[in-house]
Amino acid sequence: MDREKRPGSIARFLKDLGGNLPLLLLTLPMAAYVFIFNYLPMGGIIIAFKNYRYDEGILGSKWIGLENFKFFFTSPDMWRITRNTLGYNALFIVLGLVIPVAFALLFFGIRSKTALKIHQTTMFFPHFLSWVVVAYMAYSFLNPQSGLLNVMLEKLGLVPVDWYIKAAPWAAIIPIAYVWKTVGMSTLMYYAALMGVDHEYFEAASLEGANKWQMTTKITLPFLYPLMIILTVLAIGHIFYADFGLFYQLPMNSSMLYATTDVIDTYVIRALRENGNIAMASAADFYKGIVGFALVLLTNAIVRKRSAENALF
Amino acid sequence: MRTSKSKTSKPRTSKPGTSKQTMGAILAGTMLGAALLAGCQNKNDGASAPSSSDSASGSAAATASAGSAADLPEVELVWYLRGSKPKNADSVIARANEITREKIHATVDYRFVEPGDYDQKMQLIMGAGEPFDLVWTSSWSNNYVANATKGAYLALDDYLDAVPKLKESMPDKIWNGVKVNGSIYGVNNYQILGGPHGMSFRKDIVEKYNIDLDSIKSVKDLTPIFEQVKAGEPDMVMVKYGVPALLPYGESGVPPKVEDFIVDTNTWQVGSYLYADDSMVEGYKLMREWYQKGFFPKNVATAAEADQSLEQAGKLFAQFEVAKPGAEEELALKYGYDVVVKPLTDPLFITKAALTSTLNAVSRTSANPERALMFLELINTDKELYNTLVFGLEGQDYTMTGDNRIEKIPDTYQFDAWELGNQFNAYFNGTQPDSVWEDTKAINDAAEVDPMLDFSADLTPIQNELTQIKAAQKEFYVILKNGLADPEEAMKNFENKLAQSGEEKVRTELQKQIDAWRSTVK
Repeated sequence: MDREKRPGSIARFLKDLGGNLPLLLLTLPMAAYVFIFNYLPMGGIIIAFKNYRYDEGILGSKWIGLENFKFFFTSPDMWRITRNTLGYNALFIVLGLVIPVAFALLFFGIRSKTALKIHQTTMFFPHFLSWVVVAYMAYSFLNPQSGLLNVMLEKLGLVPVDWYIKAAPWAAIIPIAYVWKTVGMSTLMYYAALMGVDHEYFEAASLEGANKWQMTTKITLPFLYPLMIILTVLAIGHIFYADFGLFYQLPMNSSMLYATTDVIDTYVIRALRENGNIAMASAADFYKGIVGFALVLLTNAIVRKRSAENALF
Repeated sequence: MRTSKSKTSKPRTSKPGTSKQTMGAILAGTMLGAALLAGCQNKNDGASAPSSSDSASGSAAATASAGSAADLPEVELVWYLRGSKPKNADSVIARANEITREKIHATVDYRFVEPGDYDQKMQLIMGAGEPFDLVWTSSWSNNYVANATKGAYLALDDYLDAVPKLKESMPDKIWNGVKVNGSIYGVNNYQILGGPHGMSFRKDIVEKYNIDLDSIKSVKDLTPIFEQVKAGEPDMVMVKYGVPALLPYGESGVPPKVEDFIVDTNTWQVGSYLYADDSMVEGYKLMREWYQKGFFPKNVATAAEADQSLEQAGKLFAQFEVAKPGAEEELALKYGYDVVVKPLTDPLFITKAALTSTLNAVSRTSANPERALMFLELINTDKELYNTLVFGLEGQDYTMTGDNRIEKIPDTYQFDAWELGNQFNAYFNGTQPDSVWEDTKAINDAAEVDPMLDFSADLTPIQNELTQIKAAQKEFYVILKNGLADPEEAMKNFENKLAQSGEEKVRTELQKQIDAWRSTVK
């Protein structure tokens, strides 16, 4: 970032290149992957401004300006889906920051290797399950016929609840499922960052008479700030991207729950699945991408203002 | 114990999890290799598709070979069908391919797609321009009119002259009815067109409780029957899902409609949106009562209607059906138990939706459209091929019990006959009366034709409104028809959303187009 321009920078660049060649080669596959799958298809964005026909193709179809964006912006469900998408994602950003960091700090305090591995693995496991599987696991808990939860409620003499037609509880069920599935992975990332912390800091601190809490807030946590900032900025960029699997599969697409489960992605598929209007779907996605991009720039600008060294770029 | 690894390492330059990164890079490298291969393949598909369609539309029917099939080079056609791959499919398909190879020098790659995935998968295949030849399409799944409008299918008008037997195999009113913007884009699987709707009931239960089915005049009359059966069979589900009227039309018949807006064909006025019409609201109230009485499965809010597990478990009493001739035999085969079918409406009149309820279309990406048409002609006129694909192989899947009559061997090959071609070529199955096809044809001939049949609306100016209306319909119809919520409350919300979605604009636009169309007629 603070690299100055010097004369002969090309020669220098080549020298750097030579020195870092093995490392650069290692990043090459990923760079190519990103280029092929994330950059090349971007040309297809033009479809959002066209009246797409199968026979005329992407290039040949007629331009129709912003017509494809209208259905989305004038939708009577606009408020509901925007509120849910932004609300849940904002909540996920907070939960996805606080809970994994707390767990990472706790893990950092565990001295027994076996205990650490057991905890990590159990928490990490849900990460490997797809939302479809998680949805059916939740279904076996919540379903009105033989759901474990309802059986338990009945045993306790309470009235069983048909969870799939009551919207309110899903405002809690969705974040719980989200945290359950993602916490292991995020914790691991923060914990990995902590592995690099030099132990001498703690020895020095304890010589100075610092207690555990002070060490955590003054030494351990600051080491996590850069990672916390990076992950949060990236998450903010995705604030308009609802996890489709979570919001579509988990509530089993039950209409009765839309008040608390309908998000931009589920609305788009509901509205467009039957008529298969690819252009309209692209328009909605394009809009999400643009807003996300703007938010990343904005967040990064704010971070840079406050502490330039932690900014992403 | 954690020990510091190096005295000089500074936190800012430390590289946590280096080995993980290496692993990641290696993994990414492997994935990339696979991805590149996939990418190349797609590119080839994309490149070859337009050229093949160009040549196809350019050459048109002039080159369609009328000569003997023996002169033709052998080709493989790809046909997408909606349904799981049946048992014994491989041997049956091998036999079907023997027939087609001999007669038209072509074999067919039958690609079965699960019903739940069908719409989405076909969208992707057509969107990617993948080359294939034939595809099953309809008004209710893999939308025929929408796909034809967007140029996914080949216009068949010119090709049909080369296959006269296909053209003659069904009446002209069908060919006219499947036209989209003046061209034919699909070959109807000729079957019942205006059959009445009704219910099927499990025969053993009907007999056990001595139910008088003739007492049923409308959906309302089912309530006491369901109450009686439910009391005796508490484990049984009465119906899988709600249908507020027999099919969403009302029992007096199908109102002519455009995009689900009812049209009064006496005054040619566009009326209410079907799903919010007063006649439907009556039905919704009844369904609420059914829901509260526990006639539906407990998980009706989330269950898939096409799911057959209740039938397989023998826990379902009744189902909504098309009460066409021969239905009882066909359904017994499908469900695995005997049913009684009771028609509850008059024969419906023939709508565009009915005429386009099952078709096979030729893809614009087909490299061999002439041969695809020849295959469609064969499957619509050749009894042997059709019956092989519907019933399987003699001895393995069925036994011949008469001249034109078979007995299915349970739990063997079976595929939906209505997807495959002209149903009047089918063998009589089990106890199906000899008259079944004559009866069906009589109904078809007698059925009135929808006066709106020739009208096709240009939806471009109201695309946004229709999309929003569809989203509202999908949200509320499932709630209302299954009685999940208080109908009055739900209707209020539904109507609000329809109004906000531009219901009025759609009505005005449709009215304008209908008026314009009327002025050209006579």
